[in-house]
Amino acid sequence: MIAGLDLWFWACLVLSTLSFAICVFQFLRGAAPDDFSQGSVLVLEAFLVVYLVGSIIMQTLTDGPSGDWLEYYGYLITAMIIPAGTFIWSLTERSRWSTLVLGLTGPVLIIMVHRMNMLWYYY
Amino acid sequence: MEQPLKQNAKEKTSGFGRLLVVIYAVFTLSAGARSLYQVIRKFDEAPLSITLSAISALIYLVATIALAKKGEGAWKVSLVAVGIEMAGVILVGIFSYIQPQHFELASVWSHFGSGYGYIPLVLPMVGLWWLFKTKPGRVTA
Repeated sequence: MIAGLDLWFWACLVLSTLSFAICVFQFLRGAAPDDFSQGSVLVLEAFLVVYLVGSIIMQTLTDGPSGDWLEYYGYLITAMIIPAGTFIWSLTERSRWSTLVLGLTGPVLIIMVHRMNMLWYYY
Repeated sequence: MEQPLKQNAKEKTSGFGRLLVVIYAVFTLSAGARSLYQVIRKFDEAPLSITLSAISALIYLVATIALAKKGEGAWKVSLVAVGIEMAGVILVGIFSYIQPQHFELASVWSHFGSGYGYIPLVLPMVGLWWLFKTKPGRVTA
């Protein structure tokens, strides 16, 4: 726990910030979605899959979220849809704007994982 | 690699418009998931807030689809949806301050969308700007 937030959050913050930086850089260069921008979003999706498995393990070992479990997993499932959606979008639309769409994924996930931390520990 | 189709730059669904569609889609998703959760778990606590959440999710959905589609009809639907959104965020924002007892549970629009970094307030403004910029039949220099 750092500043009241667990390692899941901090891992998400680092990965999401990197992904955001890569995508914005590629967008400013005028690049269509490529291995870097798409790859960074796939890493975020992979992180969320690990987070889901980790959450289920934490759920069995502890009392689970102090907030409502339905809300917690609702956030997690919703969060998992976002990188999947922006990635599929980037396959269908090959323009620089699509790279910026990929870049949106990171900031949205930071907000959602922060909220999940609040639900797990504080509500 | 296939080059992107060169589209009319003034087309509502091109370039920046695509980004706007995705932002609307993200809001549809988050507002929808939130109101679904509230309807399942908390409807009796705050029926007004929850009904408003559901309505806002629905408006985001309509706006997302209409912004993504081409044509004059879709443009008009977009204008109506984004206009309702603009009015909604202002009215709900004002009433959540002056009559907080009716807004026990936060919705997307309460306090002008402060829970969402005020994006719900800025988004319809950007949406309206984009719609007028891409108005069908408008001659741009």
